[in-house]
Amino acid sequence: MAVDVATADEHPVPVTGSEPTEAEKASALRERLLLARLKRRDARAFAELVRLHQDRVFDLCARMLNDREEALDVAQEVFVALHGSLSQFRGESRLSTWIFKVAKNHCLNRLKYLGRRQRGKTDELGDVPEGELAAHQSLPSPQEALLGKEQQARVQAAIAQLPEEQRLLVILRDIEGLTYDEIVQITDQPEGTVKSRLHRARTALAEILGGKEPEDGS
Amino acid sequence: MNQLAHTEVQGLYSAYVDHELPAPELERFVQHLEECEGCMEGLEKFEATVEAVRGIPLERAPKSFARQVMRRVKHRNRREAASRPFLDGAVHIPAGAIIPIIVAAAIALLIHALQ
Repeated sequence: MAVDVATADEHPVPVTGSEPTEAEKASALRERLLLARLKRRDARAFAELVRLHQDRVFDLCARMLNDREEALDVAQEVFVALHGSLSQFRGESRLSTWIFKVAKNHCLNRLKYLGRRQRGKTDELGDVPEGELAAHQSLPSPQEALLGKEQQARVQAAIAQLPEEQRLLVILRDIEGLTYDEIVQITDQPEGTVKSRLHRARTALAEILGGKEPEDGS
Repeated sequence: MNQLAHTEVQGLYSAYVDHELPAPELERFVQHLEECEGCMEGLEKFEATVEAVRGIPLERAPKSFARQVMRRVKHRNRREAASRPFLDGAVHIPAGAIIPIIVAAAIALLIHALQ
């Protein structure tokens, strides 16, 4: 199942009012150098790219697909696709934004494919072994009491119930912690649409976690 | 200052949580919440949900991830190299020239077989 990486075209980074900090400038310069090395087909630079972004890409895939096995396959596919298309990256947006966009396209494609196949979910992220749950119930640390494994599993199960577009927005904003500008570039949706859909998604999550049925709609 | 309706207040929960409410709107929002128990409870539930989602730790990729990616990249490169045309990079013979050669060879073979 091929995903056209070229469709993950870039949008210029929106100009913000505030000056970049020293850390942001250094990060941008490091990214520029990494990109220059990647365009020279430097294998070590590509390994560095994978190391820098693998967790966030895997997390996005795992939460979108709600299946570790599929997520692992798709996340690897994302990097293989990136390897073959680095020459298409023009450097007009942040590299991470472009990577997220490619990952999003791959996830949505896989979901479409899985929807057609009606694959049974065998290893969902929300699944926590009973023994593990019991252990957490009997020995809660202060942090676990606040947001233990069981709670995390409940939240992930609730996220998995959202329509795909809403799920993506919750993941990008509240789990990956991206800015609205970045989300607009990744999703190709206007900022107002992103905000209103995210609001609906959060409301639906609150209803699911509060025991009510979510309202329909995306 | 106009009072906000319940639905308007509930529609601003997300903007409030993201610290995106401009001061005048925030003032009317707060004013409504101070007097409305239902909307205040709704905000608490909404905020707790967003906090719970934000508190989820990242799912980490397995340690072997990068190695597996590099293996797949190599595999793809090999597959692409194998699928390139046989004469790619070597001698280029136009297709128009190959056909008469094949036809001539076939005729020669036929004549040879008939003799």
